Amino acid sequence: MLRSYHAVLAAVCLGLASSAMAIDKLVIVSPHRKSIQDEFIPKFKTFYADTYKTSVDVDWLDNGGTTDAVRLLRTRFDKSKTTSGIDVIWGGGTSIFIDLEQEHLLQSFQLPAALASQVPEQLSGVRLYNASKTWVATALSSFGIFYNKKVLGFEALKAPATWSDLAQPGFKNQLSLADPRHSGTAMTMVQIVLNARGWDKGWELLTQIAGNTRSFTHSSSDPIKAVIAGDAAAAMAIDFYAQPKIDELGKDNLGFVLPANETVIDPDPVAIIRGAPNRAVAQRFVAFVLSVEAQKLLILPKGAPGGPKLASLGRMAVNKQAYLDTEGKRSSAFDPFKQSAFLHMDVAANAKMVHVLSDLIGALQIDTHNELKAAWAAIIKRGLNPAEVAEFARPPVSEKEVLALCDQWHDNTLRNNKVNAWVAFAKAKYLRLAAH
Amino acid sequence: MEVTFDHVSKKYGDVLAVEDLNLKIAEGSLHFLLGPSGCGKTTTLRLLAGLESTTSGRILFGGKDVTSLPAAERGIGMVFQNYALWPHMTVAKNIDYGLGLKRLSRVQREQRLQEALELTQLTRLADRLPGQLSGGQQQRVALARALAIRPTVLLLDEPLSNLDAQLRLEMRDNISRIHRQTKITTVYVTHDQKEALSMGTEVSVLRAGRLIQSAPPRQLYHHPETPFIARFIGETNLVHATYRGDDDGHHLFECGFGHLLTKRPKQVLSPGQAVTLSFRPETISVQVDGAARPSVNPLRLVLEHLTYLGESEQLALRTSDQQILRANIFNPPEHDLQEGTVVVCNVDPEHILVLPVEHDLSSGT
Amino acid sequence: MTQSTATAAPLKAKRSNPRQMGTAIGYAVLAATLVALVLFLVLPVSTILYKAFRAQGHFSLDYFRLLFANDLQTTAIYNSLLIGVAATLLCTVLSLPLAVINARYEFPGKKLLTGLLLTPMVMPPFVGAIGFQRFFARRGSVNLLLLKLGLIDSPIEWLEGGRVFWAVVALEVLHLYPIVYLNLTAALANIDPSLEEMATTLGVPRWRQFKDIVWPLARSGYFAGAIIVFIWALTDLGTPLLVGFQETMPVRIFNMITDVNENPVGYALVCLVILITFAVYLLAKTSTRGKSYDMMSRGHVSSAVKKISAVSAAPFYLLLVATIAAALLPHISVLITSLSSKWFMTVLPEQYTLDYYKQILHTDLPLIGIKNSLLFSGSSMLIDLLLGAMIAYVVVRKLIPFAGLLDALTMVPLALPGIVLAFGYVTTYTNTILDPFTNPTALLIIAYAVRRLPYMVRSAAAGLAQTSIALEEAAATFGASRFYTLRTITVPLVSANLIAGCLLCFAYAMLDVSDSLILAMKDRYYPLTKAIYALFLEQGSGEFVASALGVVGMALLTVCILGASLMLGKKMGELFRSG
Repeated sequence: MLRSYHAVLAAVCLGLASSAMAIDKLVIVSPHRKSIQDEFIPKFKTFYADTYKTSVDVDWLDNGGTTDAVRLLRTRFDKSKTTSGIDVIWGGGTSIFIDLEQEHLLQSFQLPAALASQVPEQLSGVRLYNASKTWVATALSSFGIFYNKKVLGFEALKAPATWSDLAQPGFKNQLSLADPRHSGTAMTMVQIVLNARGWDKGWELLTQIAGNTRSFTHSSSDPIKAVIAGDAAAAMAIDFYAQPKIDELGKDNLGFVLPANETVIDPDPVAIIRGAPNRAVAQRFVAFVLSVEAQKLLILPKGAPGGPKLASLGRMAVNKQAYLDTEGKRSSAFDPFKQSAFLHMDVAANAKMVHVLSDLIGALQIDTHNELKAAWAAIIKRGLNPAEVAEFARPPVSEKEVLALCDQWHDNTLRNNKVNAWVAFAKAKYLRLAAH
Repeated sequence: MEVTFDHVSKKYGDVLAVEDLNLKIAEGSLHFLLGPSGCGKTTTLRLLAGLESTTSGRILFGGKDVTSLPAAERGIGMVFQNYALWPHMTVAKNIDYGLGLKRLSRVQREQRLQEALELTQLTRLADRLPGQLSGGQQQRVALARALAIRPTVLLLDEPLSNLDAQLRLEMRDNISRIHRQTKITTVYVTHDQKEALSMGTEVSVLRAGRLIQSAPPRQLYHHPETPFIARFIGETNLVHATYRGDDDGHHLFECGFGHLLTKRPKQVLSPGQAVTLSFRPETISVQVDGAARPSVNPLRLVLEHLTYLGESEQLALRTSDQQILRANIFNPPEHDLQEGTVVVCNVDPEHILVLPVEHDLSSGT
Repeated sequence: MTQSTATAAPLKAKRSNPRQMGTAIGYAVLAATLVALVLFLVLPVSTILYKAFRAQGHFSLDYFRLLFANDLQTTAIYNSLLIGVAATLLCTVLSLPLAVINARYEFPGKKLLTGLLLTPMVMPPFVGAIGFQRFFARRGSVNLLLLKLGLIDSPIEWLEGGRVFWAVVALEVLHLYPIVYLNLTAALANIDPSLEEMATTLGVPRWRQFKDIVWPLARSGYFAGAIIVFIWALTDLGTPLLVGFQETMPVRIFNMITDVNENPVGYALVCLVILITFAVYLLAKTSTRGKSYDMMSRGHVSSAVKKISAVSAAPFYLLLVATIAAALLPHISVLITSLSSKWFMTVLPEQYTLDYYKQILHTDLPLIGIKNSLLFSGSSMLIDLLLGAMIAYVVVRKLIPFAGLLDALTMVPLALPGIVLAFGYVTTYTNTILDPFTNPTALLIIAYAVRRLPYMVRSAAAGLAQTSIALEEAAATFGASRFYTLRTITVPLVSANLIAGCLLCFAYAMLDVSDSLILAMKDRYYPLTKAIYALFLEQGSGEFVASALGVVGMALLTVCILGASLMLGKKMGELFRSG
């Protein structure tokens, strides 16, 4: 008895001692991969001790993907209206942050003047932080086509350069795509195509690509694996997913292309959460992540001075100065601040539409994918009659109607009635086309 | 059906479970395989059943070699020690299951079932599951099931060992009655000599895989061939002795507490030969009244302990060389023998058996 | 401690009535078990599932109507049921001979081979998935090899059309057969060999003995395993996701409730799955009602094992080796992946390296992961042993009214999507002492325990059903209390079943992904599987490093199972009937 009491006492003392040393604390929830955590957090701790002369304890919460992180946040706010006990949410794509802002779960934050000059409000038409300054981008990524040169050779296909190339009948059963309902990356591609081509032409392209797709995967990294394994000839991918694989397996085997004028750069934001228990530390953290030193972690190769220690992160930075400071030393010469070939998308409009759009895509392309593929095969067989292709791709709703539905989408009964109707519509149409 | 073991041996790995067994079991007999646990009696029964295969030798059923015949084709009925009733079948189903495999008409089948149920007095319990029966009833189901198929040989493996004493007596009568009625050649394995003596037409005693003696119960009791059997069948006093020669029509033996004379020597002995003498407790007569009578083998023994049982008295008597002899007096007259005093006893030379020396007298009890 | 006469008196008084005390303790344990089930199963699940009944802030059954209005869901339900039936049948066909071979024969190398049969239990399914794609991709190892050998002209589409269904079934069977195999082996071990011998003397052919005697008696044990396999295959998410078979219930549910804008119809579908599980379970139970039989006594076990030579065991070797080879395929592929430095569209990697092992051994991830996995899985196994044995006892001996309902309730965790239970915990226990946000250890152990409770309840119940109540009553006649009897008589008698249950609980807890993913948020609480998963998601060398850690994990589980077999010695031998 006495012994265990001593042990408890000792543990309490130790606990007190260690907390006396690390006065400051920070709680981050993030769907980011472990590599980001492993590079940024140790560097932040060192930076913090050096700058503020006190150490900081960081709790990095990883409870699955983006959805799970958001769900955790909402659950904690359900239990306590004032605080979630979490300071920062980092990563997961802009649409999540737009949602959280509308739910008033984020805390606005003024960037220090020095940083504000290095991180512009907009880059190629993409907002790096929003008007109310509740979130700010920390990294950028672009979308392109990742392909397997060997498989292209086997199938006598030319390397794709544009989204339209992927709609060619030659790519039938040669594409691997992620499910836009689960993969922000895949959803972004849908939005790019719809923005670049307009609603009707956009659907035509998307539906033909879906016809060529072997299967929609759950994770956005699976299409990359499918291409490497030779399961698919090409896949839609984020730059920083594709690049390390090309480096590893060779330029002779794999390739990656950004479709000219038809891709975007996508910001990966960070935000301070309302009622953050360690708000001051959180602000210091956000400032740190945007600082030149931290941003270099994103763009320098592994092992370079000031660069990542364990693995190259292969992303784009949001800090102009970081590019100027690393000229000639980066993994990729690409500098988004010097490009203008990006598509301008209305992020807010897209974010508004995203829920309806994902249900629509789900009903028209993914849940009815088998029927869709059969229809597409039949259409190809009959010689790609333009009228048939148009019918094949025509969505049951116009862009206007979709926008109108956005405000009613929280009504789950209405939502599911619509979804059921779309599924029935799509199934009937595909079966009809397949049977012709 | 006459059953013959012809030089049968059974080995498990290096262990000899049954060694060169030669035995004839007469048709219609109730033959007991008796012995302490581990003596090979159950293995012998399983060899007979065809559940184990012989390592060497032959087994004959009525002159027909069945050594390599599977169990099913030997026409045996078996009762296992734990009855091996199928717990998911009713009494009737348990009995009928075996019948279902014979080429019988529906009527015949029903008739056989009823016969077996009646023979074992189970008719009223036909629809019960084994789990709902008492131990004795389960035993009867096992018996009925074995009998229903009308076996040529019935094999019983310690059938009464799981029953209480009262039930055991009842079941002995039951089995004896059934045997009398059916006249089926029956082989009965037990370690209980009372069962063997009271029921058997012939008893084979086994020890450490070997057949020691096979004889009808009376002969086995009165003429055991080894000290082991003398001790195992009933109670006896065993005394080491040396043959010293003949004296007036008797054989003279020298033992630790004096001399003993015996009659009717069975074997030819040479002087100086070591033997074991066996005499049953009831063959020691104790002179309770103290009057001296002439006797051939007078012994002066110290009364160590006396147990009064009403119709008899059991005495433990100590010899001069500290051996304990046991004596039983039936219908004892009133007396005032005191523990610790010397009593005069006599052993009838007619009843002293001269047996060969066994290496280890203590084992096998 | 000083003992005065004043304190001694009440002590004596208590001791004088150990029987009542034992009973009181027993009922207290039972009550605690029920409370635990309510707190950690009923409550958290209902906090999530109420969403299925609320539309626009009111009670509503709209989502159920919508569920059936969409023929995608009905197709999914149909497909899932079909997967469950096919997987269960094939598991049975595979496990039955394996269990019979294990329980009835002795031949050279048996110990090793029957041990290897359990290899699916040491592999987290998602780790196996890494290798699966490498092997069965259109230009994966298998097709490349076949092309190279000239056996095929163009790649075989392993996962196209109807093949997807069978791919799912095959993967389920390879992953789940140990559950039927272990339960069936334990059931066969419980059957008194003289029951068959008796039939042999009557001339009953082997197959009829099996059909009429062995099968009816082993059925409760078989049922214990089969029902778990059926419900597992019915509700498994990972496998259909892996091969891209979208038209199943679990995938539909997953799609709807992990959608950023979660769709409550998904929760309605969860309710439906729970209902189906309940119905299937009760149906199966009713069809076997009153058909479980206890063994009055057991004969000498050794006499049931037949020694045969290596030559006559040839067909056994063939079956065992073929099964093991198929079951080991993912393990081998993971091992190869962990060692490959360059592997691009060739049958095997072009170059090999140990770098990934060096990489993980330099971090504290493996050590923390191993420590946490052992702590979580070990503790949850002990809880399962206690709760499971208790519940099984109460259910089999019908100690409380509606015991059948309690029984069915313990099967619910099998039907629950991982995310529902885990998020139920987060919702229910946020800002309480159990808050996983602060320290998830307690909730993780509980989650592991609740999720694997069905294995223990089924195993223990099967054992109890085969053990005669008379044996307990015999002890009761000596004045032993019910729970004293339970501990001293009943538990030892069903130890083979309990060990089988413990093995399943421990091994499958070690392989847990979904609960750990959501509850173990901070890396110092990561179990090994989450550490592997976190690495797996990493770009670049992620899958290779994950494979290396996966190999470490497999080694750990193998050591645990071997260690258990050494420690348990004879008991384990009794279970696998090889020693």
